[in-house]
Amino acid sequence: MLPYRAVYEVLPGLLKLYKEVVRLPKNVTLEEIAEDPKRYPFFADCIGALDGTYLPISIKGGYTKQAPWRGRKGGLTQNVLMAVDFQMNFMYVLAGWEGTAHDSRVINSAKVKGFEALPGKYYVADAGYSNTPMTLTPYRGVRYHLREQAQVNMRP
Amino acid sequence: MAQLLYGHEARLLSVTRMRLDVFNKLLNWLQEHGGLKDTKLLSAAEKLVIFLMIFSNNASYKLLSEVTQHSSATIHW
Repeated sequence: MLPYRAVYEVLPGLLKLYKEVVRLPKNVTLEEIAEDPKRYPFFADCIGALDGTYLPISIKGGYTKQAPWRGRKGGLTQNVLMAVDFQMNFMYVLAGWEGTAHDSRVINSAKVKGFEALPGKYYVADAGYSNTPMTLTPYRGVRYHLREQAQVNMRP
Repeated sequence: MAQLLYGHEARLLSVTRMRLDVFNKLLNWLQEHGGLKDTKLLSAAEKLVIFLMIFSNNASYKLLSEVTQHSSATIHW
């Protein structure tokens, strides 16, 4: 944690803004989906996308305390889960997991802490996640984006 | 610090990446609901400016003490 007095005093209050500011979508199909024939009937219940990222951090204390943070991306990192809507507004952020924690571990923890979607609604996620009622992931073993790959003369 | 809060709006914007009216709204909200208070050495507004400078511009505490004209021990302890 940063040893700044201001950070300690402002941050707890700022976190309370989440409930004031973030309004999760109501039980309707989003405009961005309804207006796009590529998306409409297929992704009618999608409310956003989520993924994890690794943020570099520094840890006070000896090497023994650093071990769990030394994940697969090199250096000391946090695994941070974020969900965004179609305007790239953040809907949910869970920071603080060790860099060795996998994405599935982080999202399970987020669900315990109250991260949820309305019944029947889901986020799209990448292959690191599992197919659950609230996350839709790509089919395994299917090659996507063949046409786009061909345009740049690449093999998938 | 007074130059930032009462001077030209663009100065606060460039330092904290937040417009003055937004800054004042946030400050009032934090004081009413977020438990942010003036203390002996730092006012609530100064604390918020310091916080925003750290997170928007990755400001060092030497720079912060220069901008706020406080001892670095007041900012960083």
